[in-house]
Amino acid sequence: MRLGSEIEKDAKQFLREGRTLLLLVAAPLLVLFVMGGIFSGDSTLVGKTGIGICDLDGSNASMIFIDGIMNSTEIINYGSGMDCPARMETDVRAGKLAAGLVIPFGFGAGMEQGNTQNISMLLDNSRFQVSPSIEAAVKANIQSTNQRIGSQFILTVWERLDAANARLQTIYASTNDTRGRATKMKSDLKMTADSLNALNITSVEDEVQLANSTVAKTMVSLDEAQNNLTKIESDFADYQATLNQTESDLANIDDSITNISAYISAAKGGMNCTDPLFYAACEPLDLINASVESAHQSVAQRLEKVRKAQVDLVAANQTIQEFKASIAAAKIGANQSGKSIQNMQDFVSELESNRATSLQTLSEVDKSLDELVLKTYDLENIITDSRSQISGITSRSPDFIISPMIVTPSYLFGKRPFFEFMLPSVLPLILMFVALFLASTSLVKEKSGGTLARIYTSQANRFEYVIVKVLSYTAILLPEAILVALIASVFYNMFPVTDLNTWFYVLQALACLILAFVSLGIVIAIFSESEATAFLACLVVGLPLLFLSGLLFPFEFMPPIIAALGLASPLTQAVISMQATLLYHSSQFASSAVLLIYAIAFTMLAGLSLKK
Amino acid sequence: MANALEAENIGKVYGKKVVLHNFSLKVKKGSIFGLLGPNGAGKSTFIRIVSGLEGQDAGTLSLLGANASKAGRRQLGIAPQENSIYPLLTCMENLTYFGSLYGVTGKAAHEQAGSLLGQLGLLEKKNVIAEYLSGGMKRRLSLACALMHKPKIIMLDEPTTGLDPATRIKMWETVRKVVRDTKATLILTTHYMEEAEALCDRIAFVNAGSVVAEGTPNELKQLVGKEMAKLSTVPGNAENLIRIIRGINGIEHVTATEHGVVVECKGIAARLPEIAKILEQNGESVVEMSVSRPSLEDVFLKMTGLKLREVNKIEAGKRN
Repeated sequence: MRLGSEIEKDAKQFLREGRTLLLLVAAPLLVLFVMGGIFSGDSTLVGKTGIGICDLDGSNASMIFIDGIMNSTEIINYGSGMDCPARMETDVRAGKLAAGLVIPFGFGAGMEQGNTQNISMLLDNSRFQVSPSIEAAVKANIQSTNQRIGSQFILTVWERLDAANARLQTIYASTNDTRGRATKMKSDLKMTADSLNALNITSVEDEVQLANSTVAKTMVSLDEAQNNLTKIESDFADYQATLNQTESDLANIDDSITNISAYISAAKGGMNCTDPLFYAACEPLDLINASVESAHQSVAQRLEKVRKAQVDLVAANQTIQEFKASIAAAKIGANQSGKSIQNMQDFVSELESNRATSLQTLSEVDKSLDELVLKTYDLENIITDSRSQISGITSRSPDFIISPMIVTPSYLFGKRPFFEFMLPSVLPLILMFVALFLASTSLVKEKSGGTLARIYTSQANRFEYVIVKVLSYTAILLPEAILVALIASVFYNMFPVTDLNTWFYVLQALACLILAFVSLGIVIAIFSESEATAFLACLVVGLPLLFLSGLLFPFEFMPPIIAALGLASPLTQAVISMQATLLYHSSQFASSAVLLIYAIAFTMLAGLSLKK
Repeated sequence: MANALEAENIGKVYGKKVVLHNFSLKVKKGSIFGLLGPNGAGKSTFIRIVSGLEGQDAGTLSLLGANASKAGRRQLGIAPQENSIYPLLTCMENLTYFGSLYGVTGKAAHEQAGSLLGQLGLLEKKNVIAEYLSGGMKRRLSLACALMHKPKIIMLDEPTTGLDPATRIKMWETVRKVVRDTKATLILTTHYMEEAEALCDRIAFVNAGSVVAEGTPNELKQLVGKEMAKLSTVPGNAENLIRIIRGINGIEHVTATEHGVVVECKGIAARLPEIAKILEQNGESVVEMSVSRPSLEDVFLKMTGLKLREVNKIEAGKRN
């Protein structure tokens, strides 16, 4: 088969068939211009969309909010009647409004009291093209209002923080003073501790112990003395008894002597002592009488002495009693002294204990004071840091606090209409459908008209035939690709018409796209019984590819698997290629390679599926 | 002389349907060979197998003395049943395109196309878009397309189907002229007896996927071998009529037709008065009487027990 003959034959047929010409030229141009008109709006602006508002509050705050939102979209005021929310909701549900906002009672008052206010918004999300814009506009307005309210609130907070900062300055000074006092107290405590340590309680204890020992010894001595006195007393009693016995004895002796003397005298009186016979007796009697007298006298003396001794003994006894009483008193005193000494000992022990406790306490207080001093430093640091932070915070503007980041959009492509961004997608889309319809319906006609069978009778190879058909239809569609690219250049400023480099990239991408979809169209034709079937099959194939291309619905919102499928689709690859060329001015030969792979795969499939 | 085409025990099955079964024939070079049979008999399937559009499931096929191959098949010029031309191309464009499929291009293609258009009476229409041609012209253009590469075997599948009688006869003349001019072998399929008889040197009757008889028209007629009387009567009781005639002594065969009966016996022409009298006696009026020698249709009827037109109607009914 000769490619030239095939192209000539197909081209002549298409040119002579009004319907095909319409499909090839007029329809794509019409679609381009219609879409260009529809999407001619500025892509950087939010469209005016009907939003209803019920202001049940009627406060200044609600008016500020409404004024703000009126700047970005069309507002239909539903008033402030009680039935207003219901009426508005009815209109939203009927599709008359894109959204309805209700500002509740007490909105302004609640704001003044610092309570978050809830503005309810009923959004018709079936209008998925505009509902995000409406939501964004309302949220932006709310953010703006919030920023204003927040700024005022933050300014108040700033004032309070400044006051707190001043107070912290005072606290800082107090802390410094506290530390000075603590330091002085430490010094005092040290002195106190030194004084306590200097106390010689041990010597006092020794003294007390000595006193106690002395008292004990005194008590022993007193007891001994008392015992001795008692013994003396007992001895005195014995002496008394002895004296008394002695006195009695002496008295008896005296009596006896007296009696003896009387006897002697009587004996003598009966003897004439002058008579020498008696003399000799008288004389011894005289001697005995004298001795008795002497004895009498001696006894008398002794008796006197005994009696004196008795008196002395009584006196001595008296003295002993007195002494005993003194000793008893001394013992009582010693006892009292012992108790006092014991008390003293206890006092000294307690004093020692108290001193230890006091020293411990002083040590602890000292430690506490150390900590206090350290904490004052910490506190000072904290206060300094806090003051620094407060200063840092209050030095910032409230606007910064509320919105530390703001976006200043800078449009990469400037203020251009939507369609100029859609064109890189629309061009492949149009060519995809044209290629599918053209290839599939034309080949079905060849099948049904019998010319395909006739071609087979020339023994043409089916792969050869498919390849020639793919190339033929592609060649026929290339002028169409050039035409739509020219329109994109001239009418929509997608690229300078004299830019041959861009022309090359655009046409190679479109040529690869046409190759892929012509070969797919031939596959469709092979499996189609009639033109109607082929037409429907093209729609069945083309529409999902359209939805998967990201033109109508962004990939970011698709499930990952579907998005991956979409990215892999030939239409998407062509769109990527065109976007790269027309928007980002970078080549996308990878996408073209993918399209060529699709073309080869579809051509192979067509060749394998083609039956005679 | 070697045969242009030899088919031996060709078989073709579509699913469970046997389309061709032990289909065998030989076509001599330079002859006009007709495949005659009702619609659905397998003629077109055989043509498709010969042209390579279908493969046979059984049997062997040779073209020009060699096993059928791509090279051999490129010697075929096939005009399918449908016109199979591009309606939006001119006659010249159609011819040059189909010529290009066989490597006939450029000046040679234009000369050949011009020659063919002249031969087929289409020269004045060479630049007319095919869509605007009459049915006969389209058919001739389709034939011309099959001849662009000067094939050695021309195959015409139902070349006159759908044409009015005058155009059909003109088409026969065209076919004869082509064969005469090209000296090619021509194989045509038709379900028209008169077409086969008018054009073909040899005819093969095809029915239910097999060749049931094959020979020259005279040879085929001799298979029937008897004169027949056609009696046209007023519409009446056909069964009664047949019963009456069968009762006549010497009558060999009676067949009902659309308007009467066909009667076969020796010396039928001499016995016609007698037969007419008996029919009259039995209340059956004879409107017309004629005596004919056996035709190809008679042969077909003889071979299959069916009348070709009726079979065509049945097949057409099945297709619808």
